Amino acid sequence: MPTTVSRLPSLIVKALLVRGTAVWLFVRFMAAVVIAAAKEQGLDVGHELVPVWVLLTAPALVLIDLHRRKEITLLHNLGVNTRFAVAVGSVPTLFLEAAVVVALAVRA
Amino acid sequence: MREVLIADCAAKRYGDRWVLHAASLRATTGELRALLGRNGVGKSTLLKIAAGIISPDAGTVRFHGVAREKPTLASLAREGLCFVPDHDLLSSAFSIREHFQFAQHAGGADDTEKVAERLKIGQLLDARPFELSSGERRRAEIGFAMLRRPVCLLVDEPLRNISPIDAEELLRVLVEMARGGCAVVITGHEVPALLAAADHVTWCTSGTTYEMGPAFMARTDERFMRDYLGPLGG
Repeated sequence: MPTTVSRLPSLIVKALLVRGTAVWLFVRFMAAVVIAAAKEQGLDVGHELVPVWVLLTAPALVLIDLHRRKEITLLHNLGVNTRFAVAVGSVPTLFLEAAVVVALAVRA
Repeated sequence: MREVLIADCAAKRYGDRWVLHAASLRATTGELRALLGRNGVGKSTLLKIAAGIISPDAGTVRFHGVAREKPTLASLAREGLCFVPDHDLLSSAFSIREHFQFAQHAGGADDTEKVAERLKIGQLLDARPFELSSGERRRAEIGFAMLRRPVCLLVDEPLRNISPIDAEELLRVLVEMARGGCAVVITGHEVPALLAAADHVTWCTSGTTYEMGPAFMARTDERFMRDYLGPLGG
């Protein structure tokens, strides 16, 4: 009988979540740097677009990180497709970015 | 014995260069098949097409008798395929023991320690792949595949960069897997060792493949001897 794989091992999930958090921090930091630099030049880059930029950039960076670590074939051999792994790695971005948006809205 | 995986009439082009134009690969349960050929003839490409890693420009992949529209390694792995590339299967982020646990989690049942001892890497279970020599890493990759308990195992150059004595042991493990019912296909250039272990030889040349039959039959084929084994006969 063919073996069936339906989910990621918890250790890999943990690693993807930790890396996803690091990716979010990096993207947020880069956004802050870009906004600060733009302000210095007297430009308004539009703060409201930052969450969109973060949500689009983070999954791409998670994917790049998986390729950089050469983990794609390993994941595939476990029956996990790349899209699913990227989705798991993007979960921290989704939650943390939502938290930031809510926090900023409450403060305003 | 049944053909569990078939890549049929596969064609693949890189830019203007056709690497394969009508190549086929069959993996049969209980059999170890050696895919042989000179460098650059497309052995790895054919193996990757069969594994769903590369999309062919023409041809079909059938797994468990079902033609796959757009096969991916992940989808085939869920049904029992395991592919060991010629390098970098294991992640530097995890220890060998953790990799073995992943394989068990994915459907394997064998004892991690037992497999590690069998492959003589029992002392290295807590090491990370980058801490191992290439031979040890190769054995760990085969250990991962063993623990995965695949229906079909494709291994690209399993004997590369490993000593003859380790190669012999590794081949013994692959033969055991085949005897246990797994369909095993391996590539490589270690002709005497591969011919001694293989139940069947497939020769990849000029963009196509020839089924040579058992190793002793391959050795009697004049063209195979002339164009691949050379004057020393491998």
